[in-house]
Amino acid sequence: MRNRPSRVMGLVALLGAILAPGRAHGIRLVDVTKDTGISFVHTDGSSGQRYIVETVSAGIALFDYDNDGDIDIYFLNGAPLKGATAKTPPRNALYRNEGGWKFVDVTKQAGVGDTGYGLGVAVGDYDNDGDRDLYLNNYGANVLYRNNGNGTFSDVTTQARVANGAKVGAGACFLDIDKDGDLDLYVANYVDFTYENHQVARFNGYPAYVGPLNYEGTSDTLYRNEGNGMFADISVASGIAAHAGTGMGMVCADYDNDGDTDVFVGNDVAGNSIFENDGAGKFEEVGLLTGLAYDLAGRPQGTMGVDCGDYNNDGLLDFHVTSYQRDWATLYRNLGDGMFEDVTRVTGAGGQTFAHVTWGNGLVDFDNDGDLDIFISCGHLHDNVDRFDRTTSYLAPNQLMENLGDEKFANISAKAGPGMGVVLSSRGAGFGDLDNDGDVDVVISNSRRGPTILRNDMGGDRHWLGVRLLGVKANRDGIGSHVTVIAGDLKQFAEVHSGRGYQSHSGLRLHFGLGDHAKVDRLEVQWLGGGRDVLENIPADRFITIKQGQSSSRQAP
Amino acid sequence: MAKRRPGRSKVRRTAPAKAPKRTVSVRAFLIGLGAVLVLIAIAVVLIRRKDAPSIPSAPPVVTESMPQIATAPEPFRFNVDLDDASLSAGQKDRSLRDEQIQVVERLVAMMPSNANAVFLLGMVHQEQGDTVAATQALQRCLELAPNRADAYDHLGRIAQQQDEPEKAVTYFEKALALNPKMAGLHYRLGQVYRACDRPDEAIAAVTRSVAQAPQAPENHVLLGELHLQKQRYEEAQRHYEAALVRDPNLSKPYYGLATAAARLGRREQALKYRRKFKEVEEKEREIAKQQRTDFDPLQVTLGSAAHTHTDVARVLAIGGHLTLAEQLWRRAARLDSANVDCRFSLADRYFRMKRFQQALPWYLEVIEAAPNHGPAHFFLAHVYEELDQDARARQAYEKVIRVSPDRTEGFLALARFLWERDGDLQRVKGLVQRAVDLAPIAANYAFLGRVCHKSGDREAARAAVQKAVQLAPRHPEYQRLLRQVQEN
Repeated sequence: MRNRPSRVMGLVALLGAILAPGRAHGIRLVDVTKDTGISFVHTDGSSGQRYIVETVSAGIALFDYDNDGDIDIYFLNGAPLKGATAKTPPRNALYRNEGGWKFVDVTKQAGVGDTGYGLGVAVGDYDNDGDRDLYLNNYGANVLYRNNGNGTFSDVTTQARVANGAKVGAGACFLDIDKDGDLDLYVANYVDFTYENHQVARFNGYPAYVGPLNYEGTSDTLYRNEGNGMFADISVASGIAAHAGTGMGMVCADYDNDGDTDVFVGNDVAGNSIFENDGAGKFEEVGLLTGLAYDLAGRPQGTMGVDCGDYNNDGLLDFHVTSYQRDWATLYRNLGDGMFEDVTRVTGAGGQTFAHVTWGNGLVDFDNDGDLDIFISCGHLHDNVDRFDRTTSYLAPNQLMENLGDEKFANISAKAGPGMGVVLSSRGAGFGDLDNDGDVDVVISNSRRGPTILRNDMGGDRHWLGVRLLGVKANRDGIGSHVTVIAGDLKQFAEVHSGRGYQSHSGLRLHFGLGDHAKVDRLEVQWLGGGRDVLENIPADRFITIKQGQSSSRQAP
Repeated sequence: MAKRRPGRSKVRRTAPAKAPKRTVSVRAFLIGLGAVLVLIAIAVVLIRRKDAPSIPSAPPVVTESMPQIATAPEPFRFNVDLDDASLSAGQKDRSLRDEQIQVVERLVAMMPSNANAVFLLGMVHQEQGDTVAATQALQRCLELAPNRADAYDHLGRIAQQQDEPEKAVTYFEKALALNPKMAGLHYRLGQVYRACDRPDEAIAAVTRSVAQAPQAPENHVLLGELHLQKQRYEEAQRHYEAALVRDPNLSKPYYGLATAAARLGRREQALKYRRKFKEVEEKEREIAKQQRTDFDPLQVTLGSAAHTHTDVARVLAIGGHLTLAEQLWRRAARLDSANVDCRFSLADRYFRMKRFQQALPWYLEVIEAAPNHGPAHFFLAHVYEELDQDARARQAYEKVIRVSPDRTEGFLALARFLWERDGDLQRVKGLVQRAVDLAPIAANYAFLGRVCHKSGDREAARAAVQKAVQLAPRHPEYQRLLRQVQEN
């Protein structure tokens, strides 16, 4: 009998744990879209003809366009395709973050309301003038908007020579291919679709979109920044043009950790392309060698989004790709010798993605516990799929996989807050601390609908650090530079990217969850092109900007 | 040429060779059911043989052997006219899919407690992507027939598609308990064990699958992947190599070999396999592209609808609804010129009804679609006999022997045919001797004894008939025959 009270207490504790809405530090994402003032609605420009481009629109960009310290949102929109009409031409939209979860449409005054068919977007300060410029990868002519630094942009596509013909665009990234301190531009292209070679499939008697195999793949375009406001097409000279693919999402990252920026282009129903940089802007395609081109079984995936991050904190960049239905969104672990291993099944990172088409993705520490979780946006491309395949659905909830810290992930979508209950057909996703409260929020682009804005209401008192780089010799935002953060026994590694996920852009400001660590013992920046800055004893829970060469303990490369 | 002897025995016909396998495996159960009916027919033959003369005869001409339904039910109404040029291919496609559902739903309405009918409903829903309705039907099927391994198997497949591997494991394990020999089941179980991160159980399941189908390369590919995951690279390589022995045109094993070699630090080997992978994969892509170009969804639907109608008709026929079954078989034949089963069923129906002129073109269509269809040649020969076209009949029997040389029916039937027409006795003897070699049973020895007796080879006749008596000592016909050959 003496043991009885403790047993009861144990039971109460157990019940408490079971009945609690989440862990004390549980991720809780709340849909705040309707309170934000954002009225943007996406159109895919469809009229029932089922052009393939309708299915792949569109990405999204999260960046601070006016240097006021908060993250603004740029939405891509479709445009009426042949056979469709619109009273008012659909436009892309820029929403300025006013703070307090209020956003204002500044598209018109900023001059960024492109009416082209938006597919992909990249952000980078290509002219190193201290503000971020915007590149749109469209179906049709692409657009480069130069940020004038006063809240407005100028369309400089023609003088910059980056229109890229009239191709079907996909992802795009700014990167410094030759470490000369200015940003070059990689533009992925999808397939050779035209109205003349348009095709329609039929599944179980219902009209359906065809896939990329019905068209020829196309090679991508690489522009070198000439430093005078102009770019030169070096696709052939760089070795990129030798490889035709069905490019979708992409990320530019130092996959082999050799100090230069390589390129990962996800291909749809084809092996992914990994273009290894020789350090001077010449590339060799090594996808097959790395193990990143195909999944564990050697199957090409219907790759949509691509992101990277060090999910297991071993100092190496791992990659994550989203894919088509009946395939899991796939996690590739970096083995450290230029090789990767598909660890989707052994880690559980695939979650419940098998039944869905998956698009936007992000390796993000949502609960500030010091490791990267995975967000995946879902939604089928066939708007009538429910009529011929009930294992899936056009509208689908997004998914969130929590990193459990032992090379295992758990699908926590159902208990990660009401925001994960939103059921739409999502595409691109962007991640950033929109309210500067120390946790990462989410913005999702939905096909034919308004976006979803998810506020992270993570509980608990875990610590964090936001880091922005300011290159001097390196490019202005430090794109391609590496940051290592050590807080007690926690060591994290990140790289600054322009363009990531599903044809989207976010994350120029790096976010590090620190768990219980109230300070960072050591922060090291390895700048792209050389130079290292080391900072020590940085108090947590703040945003810091590290200017190249500012640290007292600056070291030689 | 001599006419047939009057009063020849009415032995029920048996099929000389298996009909070609149907391409849609989900209907295996109904095919199995068909096989059971054939076995029953054989059993009836054997029972009747006790009193029958030992010379095999032409197949019986019987009327309806199935139960008869008193009132004729409403015929099926088919909504889509395939020749209607105003309808698009998509409209025809959708209508045909609706037609399949309507047909099978009516079957279930007529026979709500028939597990085959309900199973078919599940299959059609599954084929059309309605996994919710398919699941309901399969579960109902299991309520009616709890030992249906195939229903559990399909529930498992649906769960697998819906990314519910734990549920799939449960269903597949139940199916396995009921039918451990079901084709592909161990492999599927291996797949879902892997999805549940149970690699050791997956390896065990797929190893069982190898034992079941040693020539299937996919088992070894999956084992290669599983060992790769377990970081047993040498073992993985062994399985990938085994897969390539079975099919050198697969790309996946080369990918696995390359990955394993890379993990083992054998860089040159890895490069070699990667180059090979790329080469084979490009070929696969070209083939896939061509298939995509050639793909005609309406043709697929036509084939699928014909299968459905044929299967529904089979269940209806077993239930005695022969007129409706006939209507569906005819519709199936109209939908798919390559569907052999519906044509054979129609021919069979008319044969049973003595409508030989009507049966003839259907047997010919079966042979056109499947030139080596043994049963069709066999019955075609009988139809020609009934129509007094002996030259064609003989030609058809000769064909039966060519397409089914390891079965007795063709040899016996041709022997009987020649015997009845006082044909070349040496040829008859040779044919019957071959039948005896293939099936040393009393009836065949007795037939051989008769032939030897007639040809004057008394010694051989005695020996053969004695063998028949030895095998069936109480058979009065053989006793009588023995006395006859001994007297002479």
